[in-house]
Amino acid sequence: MHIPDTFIPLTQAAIYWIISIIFITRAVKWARKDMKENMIPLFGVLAAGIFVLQTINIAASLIVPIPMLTGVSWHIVGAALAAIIFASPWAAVLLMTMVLAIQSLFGDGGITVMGANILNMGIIGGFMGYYTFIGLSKLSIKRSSAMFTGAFLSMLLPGIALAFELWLAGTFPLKQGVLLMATFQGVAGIGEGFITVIVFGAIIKARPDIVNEEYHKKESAAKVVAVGIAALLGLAVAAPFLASNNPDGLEQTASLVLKNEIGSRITLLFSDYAIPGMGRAGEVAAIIIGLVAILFIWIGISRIIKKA
Amino acid sequence: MHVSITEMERETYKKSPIHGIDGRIKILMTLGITVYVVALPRMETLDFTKLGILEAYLFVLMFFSRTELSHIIARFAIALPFGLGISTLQPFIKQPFIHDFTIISLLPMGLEITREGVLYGAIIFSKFFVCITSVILLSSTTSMSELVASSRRLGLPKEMAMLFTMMVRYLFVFWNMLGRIRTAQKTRCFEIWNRKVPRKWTLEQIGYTISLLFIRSYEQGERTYQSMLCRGYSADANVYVNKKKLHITDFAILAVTLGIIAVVQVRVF
Repeated sequence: MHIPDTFIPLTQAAIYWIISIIFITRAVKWARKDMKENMIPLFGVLAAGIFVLQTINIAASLIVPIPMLTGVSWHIVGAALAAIIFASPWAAVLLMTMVLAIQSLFGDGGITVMGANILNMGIIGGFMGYYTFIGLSKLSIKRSSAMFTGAFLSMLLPGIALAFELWLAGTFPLKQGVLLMATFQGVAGIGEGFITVIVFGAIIKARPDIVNEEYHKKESAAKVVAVGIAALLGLAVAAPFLASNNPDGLEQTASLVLKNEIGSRITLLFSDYAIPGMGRAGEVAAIIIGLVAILFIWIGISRIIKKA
Repeated sequence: MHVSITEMERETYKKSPIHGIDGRIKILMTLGITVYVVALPRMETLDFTKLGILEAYLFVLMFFSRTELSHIIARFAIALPFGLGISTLQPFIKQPFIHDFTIISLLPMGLEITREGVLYGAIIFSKFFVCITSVILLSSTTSMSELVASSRRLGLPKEMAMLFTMMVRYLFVFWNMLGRIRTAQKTRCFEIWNRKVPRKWTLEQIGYTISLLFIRSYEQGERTYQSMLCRGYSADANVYVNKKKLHITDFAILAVTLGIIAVVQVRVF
């Protein structure tokens, strides 16, 4: 899942670098201050361990035994695992940055595109993996299930982000890219989920003091919601480009059965999830407006329930 | 093909004119070549000439570095597959930045091979090949600790320098540790591809191996941190990097590299 050099133009690569540098700076500050002790040396040593454990290749057919996956292997990334153990997504950002930098010396991921690789595996993987785990735990879902889902998404979503980056770069078509990455990263995500649960279980038995479980409980719901909204906004921007122009099953049936009677008698505000005359931007805006409306309705309902 | 991290590091301790070049110069050369190659126009047949000249120059440097041919081939074999895969698919894709396509072959299932797609695939792969060559040259002739020290001299922030110093120091410790764990597993007839045992059991064993490595690296980190504290380490501590003067040969090789890039760009050939 490491993007090599030349597959993303320099200007786009620079944008990903800027985003990553902002996050890396914050991650270093986190290691210095939020962990109370100076954990920088410890993280350096741990990054070496994570680099080495990423060399353990696991057959994809071990997870999903289908012929398509014969000969395909995957290795644990560990972004969600690191974030969950240290109770912070910044741990994942820091560790992944270092691992990716050394991997680039092996030609595993490029130099100009390292920002994009850090964004995918460290930032998206770490944040989505961790806050999915926290969010589901707050909903009283079993810890192992929450952890599995978090680790699964920490593999799947970076894969989809990579497909978008290659599409923006003009290197690979979007729909096929998303389909391929979702398939392979989805399978790898299942493996990552299982391994994360096993490793976390083993660590909590052997060294429970390493895991900051108390922080998991203290983590504010607002952060979970903020990351959730960021993910939904990402999907809102992506959806119009992924959606098919063909009618759905009901529309197709209706057009065949009611040939001349089709057509709505109501004037719709955002017909076909779009703002007329605005093209793709209108479709993105319509979905974002819809999401904001749902959010306000949800907040309203939850307040009414609370009062009741 | 397999190259272990120790084999890779062993190559960097050889003596050659290229090994002797200052790490800063080699980093700047690699960055210069990579950025220049990535910045080249996406669709220009002349790119092949430019890329060919750069690749030839890198191979000349590689020849003088006395790096083992088998090592170079193994490194390419590891690095190339992903880039090769995406490049190979380009002839079947309609690139959004190309407006007119010439179809050269029609295939079943509506697939088309276009002349522009073939050209773009070839250009992107050639560029990728040059970038990989420059990275292989850098990492085969410069030790990891030298890379970190050189990066620090070039202005890498002290926190990052500390992180990388610690990481590089223990990378080989954990690599050997994983080797010992694998040997121990082999003596107990553990085989990751063995389909005669339940998948769940295999996954659990992999999970335990990873847990072991994680805990050992964490505990090593703790011990290292404690011993550093004993030696007076604090949050304001800095990684010591000795001052190193650049020699005339360092400047010369940098000038030659930049000169070649400049000559290639203005198309003197």
